[in-house]
Amino acid sequence: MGVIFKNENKLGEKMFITTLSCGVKCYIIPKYGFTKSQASVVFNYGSSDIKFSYDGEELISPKGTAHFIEHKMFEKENGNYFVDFVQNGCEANAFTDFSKTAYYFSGKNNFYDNFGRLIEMTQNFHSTDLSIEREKAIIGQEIAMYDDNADWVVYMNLLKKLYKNHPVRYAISGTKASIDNINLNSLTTAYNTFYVPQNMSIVVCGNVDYKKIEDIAEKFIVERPSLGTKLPAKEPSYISTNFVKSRMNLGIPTFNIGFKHSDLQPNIEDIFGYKMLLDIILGDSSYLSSRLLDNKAMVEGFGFQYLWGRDLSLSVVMGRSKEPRRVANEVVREILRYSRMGISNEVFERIKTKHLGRFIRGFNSIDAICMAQTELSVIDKDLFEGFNVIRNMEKSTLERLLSQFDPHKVVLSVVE
Amino acid sequence: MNEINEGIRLNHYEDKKFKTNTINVFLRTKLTREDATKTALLADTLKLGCRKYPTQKEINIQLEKLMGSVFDISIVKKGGEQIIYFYMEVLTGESNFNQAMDIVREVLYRPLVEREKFNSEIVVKAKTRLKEELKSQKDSKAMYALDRMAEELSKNIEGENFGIPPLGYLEEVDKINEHCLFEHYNKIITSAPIDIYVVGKEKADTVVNCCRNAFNNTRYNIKELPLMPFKQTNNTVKEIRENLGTNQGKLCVCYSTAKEQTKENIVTLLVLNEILGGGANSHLFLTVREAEGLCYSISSFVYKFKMLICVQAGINKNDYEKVVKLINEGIQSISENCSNEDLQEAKDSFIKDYEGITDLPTEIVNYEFSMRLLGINQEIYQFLKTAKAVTVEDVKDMAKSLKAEIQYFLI
Repeated sequence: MGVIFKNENKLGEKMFITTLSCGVKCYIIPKYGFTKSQASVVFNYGSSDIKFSYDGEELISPKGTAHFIEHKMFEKENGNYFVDFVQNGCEANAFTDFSKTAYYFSGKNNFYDNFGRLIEMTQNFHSTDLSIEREKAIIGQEIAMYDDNADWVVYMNLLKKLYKNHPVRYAISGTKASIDNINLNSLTTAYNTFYVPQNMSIVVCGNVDYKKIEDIAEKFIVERPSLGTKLPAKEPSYISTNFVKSRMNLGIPTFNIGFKHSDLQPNIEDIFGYKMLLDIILGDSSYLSSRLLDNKAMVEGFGFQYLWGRDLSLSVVMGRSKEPRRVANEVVREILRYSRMGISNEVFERIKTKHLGRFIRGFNSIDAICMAQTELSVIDKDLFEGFNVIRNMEKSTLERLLSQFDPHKVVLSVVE
Repeated sequence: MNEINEGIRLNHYEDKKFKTNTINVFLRTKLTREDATKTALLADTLKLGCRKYPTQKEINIQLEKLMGSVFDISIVKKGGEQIIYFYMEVLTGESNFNQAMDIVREVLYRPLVEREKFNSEIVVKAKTRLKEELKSQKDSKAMYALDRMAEELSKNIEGENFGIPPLGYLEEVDKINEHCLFEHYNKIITSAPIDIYVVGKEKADTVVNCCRNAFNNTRYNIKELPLMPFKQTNNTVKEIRENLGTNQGKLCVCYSTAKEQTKENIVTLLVLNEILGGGANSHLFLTVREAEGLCYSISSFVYKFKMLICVQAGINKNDYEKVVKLINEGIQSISENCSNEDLQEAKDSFIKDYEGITDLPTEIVNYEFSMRLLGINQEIYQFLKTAKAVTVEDVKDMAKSLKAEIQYFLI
């Protein structure tokens, strides 16, 4: 269906983007001199996609369905794909987040065979009642493991308070009660709806021939229409509570501050822009971070994240402090100060230099390249576009994004 | 390898595929009860500033200007050693490299010192930071379980320092003043063995000259640090149950071997580890998780420097007996029935992991430095040859030599 060849001189990297006959896009980034290559298959289907129409009917999946499918995807008649990959010299894994599910493997030997295996694995769903019941016990332990992780608990508590209806408020793996409602039928229905070429893309990085990758993908992808579509949740723009606290007997309390933004279809410029903006205001060289460290309100610098997805756009600031309320107030005040005063040219240029350097550094690792492209493929963008977005970033873009931080749409989540 | 100053060894791996140069400096000290806290405090103090960049903010601004270079100082525990680890990563280019090395040198050799002591203000800050780090150690349950396991395992064993926590002890922090911290600093920069690893595109000449200039202080009284493998005990297995109110029980079972710490035995233990709990087709994954559904995560790993093998799992509190039994049976079954296929699969997966080391600068450094500490002078391909030579009998024999020393359960 056509190949686009891209050469990014400033990065010293190349990329092939091919579109298969079924419409699936493959991003192939050749890298030489490394032992391993890596491939991932990503589906535009995550834990938030629980409401959908199927064959004319409106359905709601049990929470945790996308993640459950990810676990069971490795199952096959008389065996297990995990073991097949290992026996063929590679290692496979997968993850589910709020808006996507990705399967990937890396290795040196039998790469093309394993690539075929990866695609084949995702093209049909096989499980049994018995194995689904056994998986519930395993996922139950995974849920228990996350429940002991304060960073995860503080994050999920935050999302629950920020969002009233959007399914991002539910844990990716579901709860012990919700996964109990999962059965072969609910899994198969969701699988048939979402595991279709129109929701799929492929990323390959390493010592590979793009033509071979294309041929194998063509061979293994089963063309079939989706029987359903995703249905959005109606999410109010306001928040109802701005504080939530749990107790886990921590030595130092951990906190998340979440900002609910109203730009629900962020573009690639905004995605990189938010990251730079948060770094300017709260990063390791920021005025606020050093002041809070100096007066011991914080023990270490802030972490931050911009989370985006379908109908989703929020910024999260993370840290540890004995005085999380005070820190949260200072963060909001600092953002408002930037909104009033703007960003200085010197700081903007410095942070831009840093982000460019860090982007180039990412090309040290096959895995980092593969994962970063996997993220972007969901919005039909490639890494070189990302690189150029940073290069061409304007201060005014970041200043525009500042207006997305509304002091009335902030939640503080604390775990003590 | 180049000895660029007394007891300072420079290892350079020129590799053109990387976009960055990484500079890794290991200042090695013996892990002892009396010095552990002081060494950890020193790392925190150095991190907070130096004469040229008196605050952490100024260091960070410099790193940002240098194309977003990454710099950190941390404490690493390897075997019987407590190591202050400087990590610097900078985009390639001679000028970048020199500037990055300059930051390392300034932070290491020109700290905030006044009249034979560290600046008091900065020590107070470092103490607060270290105390908070120590207080929050139990916040990460799985890590805490491993630390506590090591501590309990080493209790009442003379000369065994495995249980000393790498960041020291909370109650010791306030006993340290800026004078004795400076004395400790001087002792380390003059007499600690230092290993430097540089990986990246930079040419050998540049790297050697730059390091020679940076690490040119007077050095004396340098003592190499001996390996301290764990000596198998005759005790019955120690059972510790600690209550922290977790949702899930965190189990750690640790086994010692009666075998000597030779290159061959280390490799055999690593291969055995692959069979037992190394990955998705390992014995424990397939039995405890896949067949019995008793856990989500279960794995085993080797403390090479101590010749210990440890199994870690997150399980239901009521399944303790059942899982411990399955783990013991796993080792028993390997000692009796390890097959050629088991061994071949384990070797393949072991080889695959080790071949992948050259793909990442941090992995290269970790391999080279660990091998150096173990006294094994083998490149990866040679080490893999040793692994390929392991036989079924070797593995069975190693499994037979294992003895459970401790079962630690955090609930």
